[in-house]
Amino acid sequence: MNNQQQFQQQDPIQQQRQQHAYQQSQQTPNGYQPQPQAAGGLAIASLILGIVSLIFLFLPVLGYIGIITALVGLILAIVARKQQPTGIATAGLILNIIALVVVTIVFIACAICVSEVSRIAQQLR
Amino acid sequence: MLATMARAWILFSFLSMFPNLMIHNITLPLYGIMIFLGCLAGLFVALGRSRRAAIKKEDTFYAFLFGIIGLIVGGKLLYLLTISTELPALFRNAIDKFELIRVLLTGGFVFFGSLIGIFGMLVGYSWAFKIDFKKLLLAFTPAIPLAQSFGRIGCFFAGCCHGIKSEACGVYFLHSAVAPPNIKLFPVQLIEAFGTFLIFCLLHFVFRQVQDGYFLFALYIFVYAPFRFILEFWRGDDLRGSLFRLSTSQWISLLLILVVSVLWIYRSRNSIRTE
Repeated sequence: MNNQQQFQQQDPIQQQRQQHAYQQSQQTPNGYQPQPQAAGGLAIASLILGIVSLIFLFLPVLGYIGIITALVGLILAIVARKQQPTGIATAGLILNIIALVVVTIVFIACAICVSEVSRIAQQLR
Repeated sequence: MLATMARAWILFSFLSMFPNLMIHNITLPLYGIMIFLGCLAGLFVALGRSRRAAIKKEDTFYAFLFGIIGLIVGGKLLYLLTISTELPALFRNAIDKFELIRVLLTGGFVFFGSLIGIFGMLVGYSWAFKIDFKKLLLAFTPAIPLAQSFGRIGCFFAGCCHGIKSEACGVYFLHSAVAPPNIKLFPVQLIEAFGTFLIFCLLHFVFRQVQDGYFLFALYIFVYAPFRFILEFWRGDDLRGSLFRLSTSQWISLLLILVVSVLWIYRSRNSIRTE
């Protein structure tokens, strides 16, 4: 009995499982295997960090912590999307990108910092 | 030609007086806006090149975001390193330490730190997601000088990274938080913006057919590093630190040329041996 006949005589559920496993291995030719549970956790974490970053950016004292949470949230969102592109991961990605754009435009001003530090440094000399 | 240059000079002198954009009582620093526009332009260039580099647009976009993280973290870390000798005294004597931390976190970036950060994060992305790093370099290398060009125009608006005193061809930065208001300063930021734009044109148009990302990146370093080394002699903001009369950026330029030369020679010898 050849392989095809053997396959046709197998339990249909087992056939489906083998087909699914074969298709999954075909979808990741570079050897990168998705891990659904870990990806779900990362996506949720990125979404939470995205929300937190946006809230922090509008608070006077915590705005600068928002920069750090946005950077971490962005990495988690990208890893989650690469592993398993879900709506939560996409939402986390978008929120963290928005937070970073706001940080870039509003907070990053090299002029202000350099002047402050140079003024303080000169006072100390 | 001379009349056009004179008009352009008057325009730049006028623009140097406005570091911020006012929209309905909201103040937006033009430096941040130019950085944002530069990153956006770099992203479009990288996405356009991703087909030639045989990378998916999705991977190009994610690698770009990783690069942005490297830009922020690398630039900040090198800035803190350049003022590291001042930090203990600053913290000891600061009345409001939170205010000092805020100032250190939000401002002050060194481009070479950003470049090293971008490179490191692209290496990290290619390793984590099994993408050929040479292809990433092929897509992203021309985008770097283009984004830099926009950033330097932003520096001109803010008055930071200014040049030395120059009565002949200087401009006044009347509202800058950094540049002294009553002294004419050489607009070295515009020279660098123009030069980096030319480097972008060289990498993207002249060397259009190149398929080797390592060659393209090495070419960028061999053109930009000497250019930056020379420009540093016209920089007037000497807070960034210096050693034996050369600034931090000049030392980094020399180091980058040396490292890339050694790697290039090593790679050439390896390819000769395998042939």
